[in-house]
Amino acid sequence: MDPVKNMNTHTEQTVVENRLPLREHFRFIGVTLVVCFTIALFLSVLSGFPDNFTGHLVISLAIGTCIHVPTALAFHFSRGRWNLLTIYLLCVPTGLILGLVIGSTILGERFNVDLAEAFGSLMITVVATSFVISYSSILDMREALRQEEVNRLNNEKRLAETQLKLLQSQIEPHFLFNTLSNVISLVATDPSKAELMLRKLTQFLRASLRRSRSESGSLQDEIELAEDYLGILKIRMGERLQFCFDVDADTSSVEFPPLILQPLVENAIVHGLEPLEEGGSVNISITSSDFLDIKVVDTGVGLAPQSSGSGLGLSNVRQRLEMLFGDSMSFTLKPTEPHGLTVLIKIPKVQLT
Amino acid sequence: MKEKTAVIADDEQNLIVYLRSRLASLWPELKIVGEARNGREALALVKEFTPDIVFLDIKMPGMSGIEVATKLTNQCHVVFVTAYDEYAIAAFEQQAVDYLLKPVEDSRLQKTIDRICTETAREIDTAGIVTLLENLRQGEVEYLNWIRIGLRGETKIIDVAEVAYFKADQKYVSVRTKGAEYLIRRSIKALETELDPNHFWRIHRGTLVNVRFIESAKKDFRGRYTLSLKNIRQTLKVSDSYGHRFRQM
Repeated sequence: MDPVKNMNTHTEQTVVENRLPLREHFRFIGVTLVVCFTIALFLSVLSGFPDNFTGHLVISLAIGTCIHVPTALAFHFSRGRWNLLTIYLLCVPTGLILGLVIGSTILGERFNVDLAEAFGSLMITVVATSFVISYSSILDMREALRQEEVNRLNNEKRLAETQLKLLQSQIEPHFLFNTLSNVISLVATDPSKAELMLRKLTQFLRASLRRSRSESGSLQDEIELAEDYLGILKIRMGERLQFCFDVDADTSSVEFPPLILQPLVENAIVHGLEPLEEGGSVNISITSSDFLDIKVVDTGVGLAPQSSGSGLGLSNVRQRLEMLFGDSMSFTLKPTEPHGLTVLIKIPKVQLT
Repeated sequence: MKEKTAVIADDEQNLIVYLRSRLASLWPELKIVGEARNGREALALVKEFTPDIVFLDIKMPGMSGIEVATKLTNQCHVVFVTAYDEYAIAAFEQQAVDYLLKPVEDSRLQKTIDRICTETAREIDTAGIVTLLENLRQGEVEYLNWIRIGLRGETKIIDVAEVAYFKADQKYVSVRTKGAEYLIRRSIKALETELDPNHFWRIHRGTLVNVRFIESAKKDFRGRYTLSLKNIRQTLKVSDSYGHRFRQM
């Protein structure tokens, strides 16, 4: 894959959460100022505007600053790791008392505790703080929604990509041309075999086109597709290929995602048996309980740590199963003894409607 | 003129039969002295019969047709045969190597025959074919794609795409996937050189992370990054020397 293109996808997927941006800080300072101003105005109107306005403004600004500064610092350095409520529970009472003391000192008044007044300030501060909290949680919520949207789009993109890869990988040109060469060569020597092969190829192409366009289908369809594929390969490889199906399930009534089994069989042949001079066998067994257990065992060369070609098919199948079934599926690869690959899949059994 | 001889190598019997019959009708004087079903047999037959011409299928078990060609020491006209291989064909064109596409067309085969007949037997251009093989291989740098894991006497194979990170753990390396954690006997250093550097980043002396698993990178007040991962409740520390990866992302 093109490395530059690769880098781009990484950047898209990785969202770096930095400290609270400066822009947000200014916004919060703005909110605090507006709240302080409103409280001062409100209180001075109650006690005969505009006489006490300056006094109230100084006090409310002092309290506002004493709450705002530690809160902002806590936000800045914890970056979301501390709970919002914890920060406020710590900062609001301390800020309130500190603000009252500082404010009174600035106004040159001796700070004395009037219970009713202190209670009033507390109520006002709590109301004001809840306002700021709800404002910031709305911001958070918006951010969370945006993030969710980004995740959803990423997921959709990935699904579309794997779907595309699936379509591209489906009818492998090498397979198609080699099969057609075989048909042509058989026309003269063994016309009935040529006809059989052409029929199987037609069925295979039709079914795989249909399957790749549909979301689901029956297990029966999937088995037939794999059988057509193996039938063609049998004519081509002759004695080098042995295969058998062992199906213990009511295949026609069970749903099965398209193009899972055939790619596994194709992988077993192309990357397992074809590289071996003597060839080998592919055994497909399907058993059904609450789950469907699919097992594809080949006696080919097995997976070399570096083999990348086979990776594509297998990774694609695993990714699609993961997207379709999440944690309720399992996909396991094991070596076949003495050589070869065994693929085990378990997916939930769904009755066809 | 001495009668020309040829060897045909293809892993599919039907295709050997067909090429043989086409040659029989287009070039009846040509004598097919041997048929090979894989690269090893092809090489042995060429050594035994020293034919004038060898038709080599590219995709054969054991040894590919191109690999066989690099090992030929006799004077021999090589014709590659392939069903579909755009890279190989481009390389053949570049090196002026003879090739046929399957299904083999009579007119194309005739051209090849004409060329062979007019040319005197030429020294096989081994160097040229070695270059060709190298060119073909260049495109596919092979990275580690599968990890074998021993589990209570059983072996499991894991796709590296499933691995979220590798982390050194004393003598072992722990391999973390979405649902499990395994230990393998490897060194982080060795893994780093084997894995595709576009997918696995070294972020710490003992940690290699799968880039596709990174959900976000958070920076603390000292400027160090901590990565959180998709679907895995585990964070990874990025050491200072690898922090540049996450700046300006």
